[in-house]
Amino acid sequence: MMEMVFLSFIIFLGVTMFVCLYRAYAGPTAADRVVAIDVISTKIAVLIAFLAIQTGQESFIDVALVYAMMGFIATIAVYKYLEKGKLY
Amino acid sequence: MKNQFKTYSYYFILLFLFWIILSQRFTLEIALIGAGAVGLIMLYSKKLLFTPEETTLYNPGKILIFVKFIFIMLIEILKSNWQVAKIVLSPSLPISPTFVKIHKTFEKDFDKVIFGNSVTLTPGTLTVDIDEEGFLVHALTTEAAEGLEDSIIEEFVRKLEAE
Amino acid sequence: MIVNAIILILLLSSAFFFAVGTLGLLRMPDTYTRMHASTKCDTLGAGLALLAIAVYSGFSVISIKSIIVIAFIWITNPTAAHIIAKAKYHSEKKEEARQ
Repeated sequence: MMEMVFLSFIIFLGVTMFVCLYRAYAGPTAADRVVAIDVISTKIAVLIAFLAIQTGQESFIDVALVYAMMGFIATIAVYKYLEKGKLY
Repeated sequence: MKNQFKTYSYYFILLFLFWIILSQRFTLEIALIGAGAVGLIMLYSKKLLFTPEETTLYNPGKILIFVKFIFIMLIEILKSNWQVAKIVLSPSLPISPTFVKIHKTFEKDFDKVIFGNSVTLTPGTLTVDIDEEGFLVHALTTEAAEGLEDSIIEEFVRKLEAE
Repeated sequence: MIVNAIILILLLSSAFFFAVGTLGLLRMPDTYTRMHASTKCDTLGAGLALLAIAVYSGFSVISIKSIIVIAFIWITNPTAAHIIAKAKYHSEKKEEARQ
């Protein structure tokens, strides 16, 4: 029974991610797009953690940890690009 | 020299615990590899570590205050989410966005970070910029901006900062 | 049975906050207000969902790691929002100075 609940939660997360993708497509400025992508990357980290439960692969939770870090680093990279015009 | 040793030992314990949790079991080889990796990481990111001039968390009494602060923040976060949910779900969108300058500064960088992040997580406010004079905050409603003047967050961060 | 009820409540409230965050991202009129909706609701939604995982798997490595993920998300999400807001604010100021 719990498997069905988790599966429906994963599907719900996927649907909300697609809705966020609209903002990333339509957003008038670069900052709007970055906000949308940031939200999506948080949701993907949660989704990977749920996949670890659903498939019984314990190591997927490490992937969730790394993905949360990668989303943050991507946001910092965009900030540096907007502020300085270069990444290094 | 003594201060540096304190910093390094705190970071070593923290990172080593993280390594043990990641590797899921404890044998001699894993402990040795972890100690080597933690040492290399601290050597590489020497400039990024917090010195005692930048944070007060090296004092065990402060850590207790910090844990208490986290629990109070949890309640504040729940309240703030409820308010944002009410605003988003109401059909007329009752918002009046403004920029507010808060003239408050803290001496240590770590306290500035904690105050800025707490302001972002509390009802209807978002930290936009930090400089020497204070914090620039974007408020969703005017009541939220007024509520920042004497908040429980500031009281706790001042308690963290006090020697 | 009680554990299942707790997990169900956590997941339902998490789904509610995720939905509110997404709706706010679509409805709000400008970037800063969008950030208000998305950062706060997403942070709490992710925290509740990962807490449900921690409750479901009991005392194990998965629950410790999911609590680490919660702590990480709760530190980085406000910081990321602050960084984006700062970049946006500075670029607007530069535009004004140019005109």
